[in-house]
Amino acid sequence: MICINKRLLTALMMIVLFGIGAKAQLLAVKTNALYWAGLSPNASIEMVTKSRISVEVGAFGNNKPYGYDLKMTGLQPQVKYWFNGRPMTREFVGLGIIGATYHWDEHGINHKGDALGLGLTFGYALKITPRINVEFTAGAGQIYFHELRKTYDDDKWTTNPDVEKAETLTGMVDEEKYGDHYQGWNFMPFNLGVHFVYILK
Amino acid sequence: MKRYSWILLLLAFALCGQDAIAQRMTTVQGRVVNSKKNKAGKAMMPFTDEAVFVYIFNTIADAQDNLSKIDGAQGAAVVECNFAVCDQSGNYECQVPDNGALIFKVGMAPAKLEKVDGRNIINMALEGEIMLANIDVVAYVQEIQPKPKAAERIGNKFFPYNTFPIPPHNGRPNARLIIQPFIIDCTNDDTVNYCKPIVLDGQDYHDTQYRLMGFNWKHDPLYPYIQRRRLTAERMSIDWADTITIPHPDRNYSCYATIQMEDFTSIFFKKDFQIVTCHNRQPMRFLEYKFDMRPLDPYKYKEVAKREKRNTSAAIQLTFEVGKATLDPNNPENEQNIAALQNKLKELAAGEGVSIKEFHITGTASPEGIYKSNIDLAKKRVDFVQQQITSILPKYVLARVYQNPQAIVNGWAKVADAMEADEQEEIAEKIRGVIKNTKNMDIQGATIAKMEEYPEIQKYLPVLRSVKYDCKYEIFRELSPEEIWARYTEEQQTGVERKYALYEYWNLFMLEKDSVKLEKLYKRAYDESIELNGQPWILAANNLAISYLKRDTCDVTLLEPFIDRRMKHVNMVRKNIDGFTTRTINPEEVVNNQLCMYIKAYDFDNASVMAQILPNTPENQLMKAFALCLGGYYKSDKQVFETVKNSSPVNEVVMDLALDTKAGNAMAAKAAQKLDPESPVTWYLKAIIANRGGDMGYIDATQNLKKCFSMDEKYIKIAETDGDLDEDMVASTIDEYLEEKKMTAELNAQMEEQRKAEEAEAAKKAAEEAAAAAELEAAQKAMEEEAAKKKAAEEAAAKKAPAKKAPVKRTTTAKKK
Repeated sequence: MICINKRLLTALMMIVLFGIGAKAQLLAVKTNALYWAGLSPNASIEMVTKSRISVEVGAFGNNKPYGYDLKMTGLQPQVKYWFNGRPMTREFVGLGIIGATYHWDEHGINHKGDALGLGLTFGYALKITPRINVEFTAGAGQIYFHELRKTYDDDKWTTNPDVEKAETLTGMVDEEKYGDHYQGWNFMPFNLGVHFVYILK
Repeated sequence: MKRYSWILLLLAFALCGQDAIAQRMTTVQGRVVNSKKNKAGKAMMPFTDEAVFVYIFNTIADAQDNLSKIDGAQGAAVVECNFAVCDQSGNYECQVPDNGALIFKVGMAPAKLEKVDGRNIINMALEGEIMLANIDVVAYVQEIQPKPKAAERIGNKFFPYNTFPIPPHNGRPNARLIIQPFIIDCTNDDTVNYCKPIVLDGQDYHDTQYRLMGFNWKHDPLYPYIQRRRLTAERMSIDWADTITIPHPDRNYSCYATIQMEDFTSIFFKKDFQIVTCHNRQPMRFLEYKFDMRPLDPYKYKEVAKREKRNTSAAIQLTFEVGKATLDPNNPENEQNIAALQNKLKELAAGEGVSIKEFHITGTASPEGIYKSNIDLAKKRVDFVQQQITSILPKYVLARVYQNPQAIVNGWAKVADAMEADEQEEIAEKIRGVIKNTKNMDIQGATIAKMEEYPEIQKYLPVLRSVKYDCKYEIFRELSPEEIWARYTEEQQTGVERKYALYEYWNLFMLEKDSVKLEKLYKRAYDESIELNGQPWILAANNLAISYLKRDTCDVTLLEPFIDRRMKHVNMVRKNIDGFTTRTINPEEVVNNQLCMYIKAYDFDNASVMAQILPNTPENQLMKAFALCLGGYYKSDKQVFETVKNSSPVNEVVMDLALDTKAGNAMAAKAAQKLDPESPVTWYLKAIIANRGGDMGYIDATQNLKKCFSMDEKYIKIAETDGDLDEDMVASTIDEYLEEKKMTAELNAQMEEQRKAEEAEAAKKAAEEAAAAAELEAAQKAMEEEAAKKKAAEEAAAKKAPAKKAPVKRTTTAKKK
C-alpha cells in the first residue's frame, strides 16, 4: 500500500477503540504537553487490557504552527508493557505505530505525503494524585514516508519544466505530472512527550 | 517561800505541760499534686509515674533531724519510721500527733517538711521533675529487631503487647508492611491463634492499588487492618496490643510475629520474631479466695411421689412351624425366649406400685405367597404368642391390660429397600419395576417368583419376618423414709443398684451422712431426673455442684440450665404453662454456685457475667469482687479493687503489685511487712517487690527467693517461668540454692557418718568392756568355784580326820580344866 487513505486510518482507529474497549479495565485520557507546545492539539485514550499491558490510541493535528507552513494529522496507536505489575505506575516500555499525512512547504520545496512508522518508546509514569499521572516518554523509530515533492518559484512550478503544462478546463494545474515522488526510510525520534493523564475509572 | 512554792510548781507544770497537752493523735489527709506540667501538659495533676512518700514524725525536731537524710534518698523508703504512700489520685491518709510533722518526698525532688499544727487536711503541690521513661534509641538500630516483652496472663485471657521499631530506609512509599502476630503454646510449641495484624501501606502503594487488574477493596482480606498511618522511608515506631482467650489457663503462652514487607512485585523482607516470651506474668497467681457455696433449702424443692410412666419394647426371636400358628418344637430358643419374656412380665407385674397398662405383640410377615393366607396366618401366630405370654399374668392384672396384637405383611417394596441397602441395586430396580406394574400383591409375588434372581431374593425374606413386643406400665409407690432407707442399705449390701423415684432420692439426701456416698446419690438422682423429665432436678444439680466445688472436680454444665443470662436479676418468679404453678428463674444460690464453678474452671468471662446477675447485697460482695478481679477488671473498677484488697493481707500485696506503678510497688512493700514470715508465699512476693526495684533489689530478691525455696521447693518451678522475676537472677538463685542444698546435705551426711563412726566406736568399746567384764566375772566365778571345791575337799578331809584327833583333844581340854 503506497498511499494510506485517511479513511482507512479512521477505520483503524475505530477498530482499535471499540474492539478492545469491551475488555478495558482502566480507562484514561491523556494529552501531550510537548505537542501542545508545538501548537499541535492532541488527545489519546489509554485502556488497560491485561494485568501489565495497556493500549493507547492517540490522534494529533497540526495547522501552521508558529507560522511554519505545515499541516499534519496523525494517529498513534501504542501497546505498553508496565514493569511494576500495576498499569499506569512507574516504568513502562511501548511499541507504537505512527501514521500521518502531511503537507509541508519549505525553501521553495513543497512536500505532500504520508508516513508510517514503527517505534519503541520508554517512559515513566509519575503519580501525582490517585487519579492524575504525569508520563515522560521518549523513543525512536523507523518511519517510511512517501511524498510528492515539488519546487516552484513565484507561483511557477519549476520541478519538471519539460513536461507540458497540462491544464484542465478550469485552468488548474495537474500537480501529479509536475511533482517527483519520493519515498524513503528515516530513523527519527518518536513519541517524545510529557503527558498529563487523567484516569477515568 | 515554802508556802508559795506550790505556785511555782504549778507554773512549772503548766509550762512543761504545754507540750504534753497537745500530743493528741489526729487523722490527717490530703492530696499531693505536681505543680509542674506533666506529660499531657496539665499542671496540678497527681503524680502517676513516681511514688509520693509521706513520712510521719511525732515531733517537729525529729522531722528536722531526718530531713537531710530523706532529701538524699531517691524512691525507696530509707528511714525507719512510719510512712504513708499516696494512691493513684494523689490522696493520702495518716495518723500523726497534733504537733508532729510530715515530710513529703517524691522522686528526686527535694523533700518538704510540713508541720501539722493541728490541721486535719494538708494539701501539697510539689515541684516534681518530669521523669522520662526508658526508651529504645532506634537510631542506632539498623535493622528491624523488636525486643521480647513479658506479657500478663489473667485467668483465660492473655494480653500480648509490644512496640515494633522500624529504622529508617526500611520502609518505602511503594511498599506494604504487614505485622502478623500469632500465639504459641509453650508446652507443645503449637500455634494457638492468629492475632489481629497491622498493615501499613506506603502512599504510592495505597493510591495505585486500584489500578491493579480486577482489584476490589472488599476482596482484600487485610483491608480492615490497614492503618491510617502511611509507610515511609523514615524511622517509625508501631505499637501493638491485643487480648486473646486461651484454651488452657494453666499453661504459659508466647507470641511470635511475622514481619513482611512487599512492594509492587515481590516480597523483599520476611522474618519471624519472638515478641512475647514464655515467661508470663500472672498478677492474680497468689490471690487467696474461698468459695462461698450456698445450698438450696431442701424443703422448698421437695419432691412428692408421682405416677411415673415407663415404656419398654424389644424384639423376640421366634420360629414357627411352616404354615401353622404354632411354634417350631425343634428350636429350643423359642421356649427360652418365651420363658424370658414371661419372666420379665411377671417381675414387672410383681413390682410394687406397678400397673401394666398395655401390652402388644406386633408381628410382620414376608410377602411371598398369597396375601390373604399370609395375613391370616400372621394374625393367628400373633394371637398365639400374645396369649402364650400373657397367660402368666393373673386374671385381675390381665383384665386391666389393653391388648392389641397386630399382624402386618411387608410389601415387596421393603424387600427392594433391604436389597438396595445391601448393594443389590439391579435386582431392587427390577422388583420396583414389577411393583409399579401392578398393585395386586399376589400377582407381584407370582411375577417375582418367576424371576431368575428369585433365590437371591429369597435370602432377604427372613429379615422381614419379625415379632416385637411393646409394654407400657406405670409406677406409683409411696414409701416412708424408713422403708426407703432399708431398701438403700439392702442395695449397699447386695451391690445391685436400682432406680429410685425422685422423692425417694429426696429422702435419701436427708438420711445419708457420708459425703462420698452422698455425692454418688446426687449424681444418680441428677442422671435419672434427666432421663425421666428431660431436664435435671435443681436440688440434685445444686448439691452435686457444691460437692464438686468442695473436691477438685468442676463441671460447668450442671447448673447452666437453671440460669437465664438475659435476665439481669435473681429470684425471678415466673408462671408455668399451666397458669397456676410458678417456678423461680435464676435462684440466687444457684447463680452464686455457678459463679464459683466458673472461677474454678478458670472461665472468668462467664464468671463476671454471673457476677453481673447477682445483686449487690453484702453477702455477694466478696464473691462478685473476686470474680471481676480474677477476670482482670480491677483496673477500672475501684470498688472491686478495694474489696479484694481488704479481704486478706496477702491479697493486699497482690493487688498493689497488680497496679504495676511505682506507688503501687511502694504500698506493696509496706503491706508485705504484715505478712506471715513462715509462709513461702510471703517470701516469693517480697522477692517480686524487690525485683521491681531494679538493680538495687537484686540481693534482696535473691535472698527472699532462697528463703522461699527452702520452705517449699515447688516454687522453683513457678519462679522459672514467671515474668515478674528477672530470668538471670532466677537462674543464678536456683543454682546457688541447689548448691547450698547439696553442700548442706553433704555436710549433714558427713556429720552423720562421723556420728555413726563415733557410735560404732563407742559401741565397740562398750562391747570390749563388756567382754572384759564378762571375762573377769567368769574368772572370778572360776576362782570362787575352785575355792569352793577346795573348801569342800578340805571339809571332807577334815571330816575324816576328827575321828582320830578327837580323843586327844578331849584329854587336853580336860587337862586344861
